[in-house]
Amino acid sequence: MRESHDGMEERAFARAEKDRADALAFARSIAEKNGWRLNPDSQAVAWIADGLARNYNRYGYFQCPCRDSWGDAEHDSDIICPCEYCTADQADYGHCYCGLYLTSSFFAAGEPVRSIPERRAQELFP
Amino acid sequence: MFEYLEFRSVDGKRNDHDLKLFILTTCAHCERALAYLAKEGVAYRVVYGDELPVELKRRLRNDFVRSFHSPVRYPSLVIDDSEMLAGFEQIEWDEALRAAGAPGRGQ
Repeated sequence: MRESHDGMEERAFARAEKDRADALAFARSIAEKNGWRLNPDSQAVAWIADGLARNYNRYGYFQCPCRDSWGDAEHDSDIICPCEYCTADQADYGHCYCGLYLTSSFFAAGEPVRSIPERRAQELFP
Repeated sequence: MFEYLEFRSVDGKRNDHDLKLFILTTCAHCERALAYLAKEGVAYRVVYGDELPVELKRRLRNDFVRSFHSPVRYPSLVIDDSEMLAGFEQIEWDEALRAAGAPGRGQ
């Protein structure tokens, strides 16, 4: 921590807590960047956003909220949102594992988001 | 099974079977499962996998593979230590809980 006159600089170097609104803004930016759509179920998106925010606040990154974590970015790198399995799951099922990011076609079809098989190798989990 | 874990008990009118629920504190699919069990009035015991120390996570994962030939996913529902549902799909959970309540099931 750098020294400061009033502590403001010290606080500026601390990681800011994230909340649901922050996580939603993050998710919207990712969706827009990739041409995806967010799950139209607002309750599901709220739960996912809360999970992303909680994980950011305890681990320091937007770890997928539907997967268990090592708590360090190196071991969790492939499941930091958007996860490395997202596009493959979207190709097979129309949406990512936790149901946050939908393809445009799946969104347009109005089909429900479902629990899908875990694609990540189990030995990568704690 | 899973005697090394500290489960939290949730009461319910339907309590004929031993239900163990494995969830994460952050998981949307888990929230749907919780809402479903509350609506159905089912009694169960629950443990949050992300609150476990790594050694217990490992032990849990190994027990799932040994007992159910499948790694633990979240949510997972274990019925009478003999049947396991991975992920939440209401139709599947309806069928399993209905069958679990049928005579002769789980014996």
